[in-house]
Amino acid sequence: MRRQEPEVPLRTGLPAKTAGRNCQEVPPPGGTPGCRATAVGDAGWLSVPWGKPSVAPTSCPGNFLSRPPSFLPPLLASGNPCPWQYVHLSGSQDRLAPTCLKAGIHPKRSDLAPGVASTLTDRTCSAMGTYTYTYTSRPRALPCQRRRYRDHLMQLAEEPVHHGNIMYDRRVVRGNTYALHTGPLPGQPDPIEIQRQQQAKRRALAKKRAQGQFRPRTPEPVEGRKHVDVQTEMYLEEIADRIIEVDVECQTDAFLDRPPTPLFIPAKTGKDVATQILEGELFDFDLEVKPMLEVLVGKTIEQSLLEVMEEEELANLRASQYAYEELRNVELAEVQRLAEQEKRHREEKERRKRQQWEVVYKHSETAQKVAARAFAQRYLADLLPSVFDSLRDGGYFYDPVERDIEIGFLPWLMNEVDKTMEYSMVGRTVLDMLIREVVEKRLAAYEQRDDQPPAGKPKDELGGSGRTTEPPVGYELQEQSTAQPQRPPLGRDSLQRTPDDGRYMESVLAQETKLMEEGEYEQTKIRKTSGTEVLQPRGDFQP
Amino acid sequence: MAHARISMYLPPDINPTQAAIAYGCRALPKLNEELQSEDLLTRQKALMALCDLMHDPEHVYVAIDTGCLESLKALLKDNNDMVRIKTTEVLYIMATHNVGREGFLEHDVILALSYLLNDPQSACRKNLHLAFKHVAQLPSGAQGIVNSGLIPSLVWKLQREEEEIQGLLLDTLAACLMEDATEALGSHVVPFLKQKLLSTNDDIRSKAARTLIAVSIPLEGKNQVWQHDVIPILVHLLKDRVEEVQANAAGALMYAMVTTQGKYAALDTEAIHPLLSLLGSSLSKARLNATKALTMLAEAPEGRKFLQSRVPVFRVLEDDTSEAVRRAAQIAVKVIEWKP
Repeated sequence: MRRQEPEVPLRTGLPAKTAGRNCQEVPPPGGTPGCRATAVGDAGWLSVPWGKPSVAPTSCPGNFLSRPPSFLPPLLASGNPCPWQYVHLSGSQDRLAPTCLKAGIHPKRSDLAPGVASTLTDRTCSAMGTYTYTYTSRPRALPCQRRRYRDHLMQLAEEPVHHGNIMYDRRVVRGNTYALHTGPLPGQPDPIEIQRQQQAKRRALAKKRAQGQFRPRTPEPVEGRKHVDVQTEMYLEEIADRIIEVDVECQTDAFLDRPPTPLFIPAKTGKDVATQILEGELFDFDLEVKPMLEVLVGKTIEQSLLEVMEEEELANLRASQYAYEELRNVELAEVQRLAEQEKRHREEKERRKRQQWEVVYKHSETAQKVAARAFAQRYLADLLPSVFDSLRDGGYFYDPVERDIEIGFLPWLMNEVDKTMEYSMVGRTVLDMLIREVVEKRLAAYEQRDDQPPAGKPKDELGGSGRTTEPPVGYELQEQSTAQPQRPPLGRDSLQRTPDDGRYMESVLAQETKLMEEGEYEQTKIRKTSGTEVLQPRGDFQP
Repeated sequence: MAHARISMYLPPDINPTQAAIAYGCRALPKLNEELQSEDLLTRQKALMALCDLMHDPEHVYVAIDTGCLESLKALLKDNNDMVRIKTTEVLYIMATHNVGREGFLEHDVILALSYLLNDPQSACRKNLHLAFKHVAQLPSGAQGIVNSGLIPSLVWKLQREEEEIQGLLLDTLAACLMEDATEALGSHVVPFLKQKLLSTNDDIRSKAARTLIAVSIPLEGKNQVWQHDVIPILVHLLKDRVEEVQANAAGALMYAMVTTQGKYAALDTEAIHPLLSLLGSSLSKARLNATKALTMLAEAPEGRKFLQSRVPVFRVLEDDTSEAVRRAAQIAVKVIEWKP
């Protein structure tokens, strides 16, 4: 049991058994001879031992599925006599196990899982110091199980094919991450370092492998003989390094429209891999469809409920509105009725009040009328006699004869009397004039004679001059007096004048010179009366 | 198991006449933009989608917020019939929600709608009147309709429209006239209603009677009702076979009889007997209105005299199920037994 790499933990308990079988099963279906140097497609080798011996390694998936990621070549390595199978491994966590392991051997395919491992290497080389780790695995077609070409003797070490199933990748953290050990312990190198070391180891292994390839050869030729490679088959086959290449070209017709792409059904090549999904494995339809159904049904019901509720709401609104309207109408009618009632009552009251007031008014008026009547009657009772009395007093009841006498006769009488008196007066005046003339003539004659006696009679002159002015005054007086209405006082004046004519004229003169200007009767009358009063004392003086 | 091939057919539950509704809060703004687009088909599809969405009041609110009302107002003047019908339908659905109604009032949609009163499409007018009816349910909405001076035209339309729409018109008018009846009274609403009272359609009769109730609330209305001799018709309707009509007629009478002349007109047409029989009706509204009407009649001395012998009936009513009826019966008894 050759183990190239010590540290691979043996996961399974099959190593011994499988190792033996491994040797036997080594020949792949392709049937190339002997042991070959396999650039270890680890996984590919793995499949071999684990499959059923008679069955082509195609049908291994079941086993592999059940197997946890112990893809490890340790088994291979442990039981494998083929010296150049080496376990290419690193730390346990770095290899990737395929779910379906293919028993393909890819001798020369160096394009194995470039996506797989190379990314790793690339990444680890390039990403120095960064901790980003990514894993990608390009989808790869199944490799052809038929080996077309011989393994190259100097086959370069290929990277092992590491199909990646992320589900079984130990590097992927499963479960809660807060309880994992966080990376390497401080004393140990970090993962990148580890990877780098692993790369180095891998390279060393590859070199060793390359060297080891030289070992298993046929024994040296005997002396004098030479080994020649001979083909022993029926038909000779030209062996050449150069792979026969044939150039084939094809050219589409010019100017043709590209026909629609036919449905591409690739030729069935190689190994079919099928997955049988048994009932209830992927998902439970009922369980899954439930939320969707709920949403669909729910939305529909929601919309319809909304509309129905709308209708209901409207109907409710309307109903309550009608009810309210009824109440409102009734209340309003009540209010109006009460208002109307109030109005009517008030009007009625007003009317009655007015009537009452009128009654009272009439009543009072009647009372007043009655009182007034009574009073008037009483008042007017002695009206009549007093009226008659006053009328009589006013002279309205007169004796016509008497009145006639008073009105008609007496004035005439007085007129006649006046006339007579006037005549006498006139006569006297004429007489006076005559006398005066005579006196004046005599006076003039005396003066001629009396020039000798100068102490004459100045008084006489005065008297004479006074007298000359008298008569016109006297006439005026008389005229005035006759013009007056016949009143008893005037009658007395005129009568009194006649006897004391001369003196009267003298005394009154001085006073009446003032009066002549005014010409008022009352004053002359007063003067006359005063004159008469003055006259009478004079009369006393001059008897 | 589903295969990965993409089918050429659309999923079966997609409505090709509807625009696609965007997800979440983008739905309404996008529809708003589509409403303003130049393409007729886009607009129609957007309208159909909007119809569905407007059943949800939250969407109504968002729609008003994003200014859909302006675009809808512009679409009301569109040439295409379908667009107008759908727009009025959307507006009517919005009016069933309070948010929508208030939005209408704020954005003067009523005035914009009124341009379509003479629209040739009857579906359009029907939706329009439905929208008005719903707006009128709200007191401020009714006030808005009154303020925009639509009442005379609505009253006039009462003559010309077909029956279904007449029913809607009467509903709208009833609600608006509850607010303010002066304009309507000036536009000969009473003769029109009188005609409608004699219509053969039960619905129209009952709605016309209800509108008359609203009309006869103000004093002017009562006078007009008396002048146009509507009271005998109402008394006749008290014997109608449909209870709703009876109840509404009793209500109209109740208001009309507040005035003295109304009272005597009713007494002349022997209103007391039908009203008394209505007291036994099954509809509480009918009982209520009849009780009130009889109360009005009892204010008049002749009525009081007659009803004094019927006081026991009112006593029975005092044990009625409805609170309002009980109260009305008590008041009636009080009035009948009042001595001046």
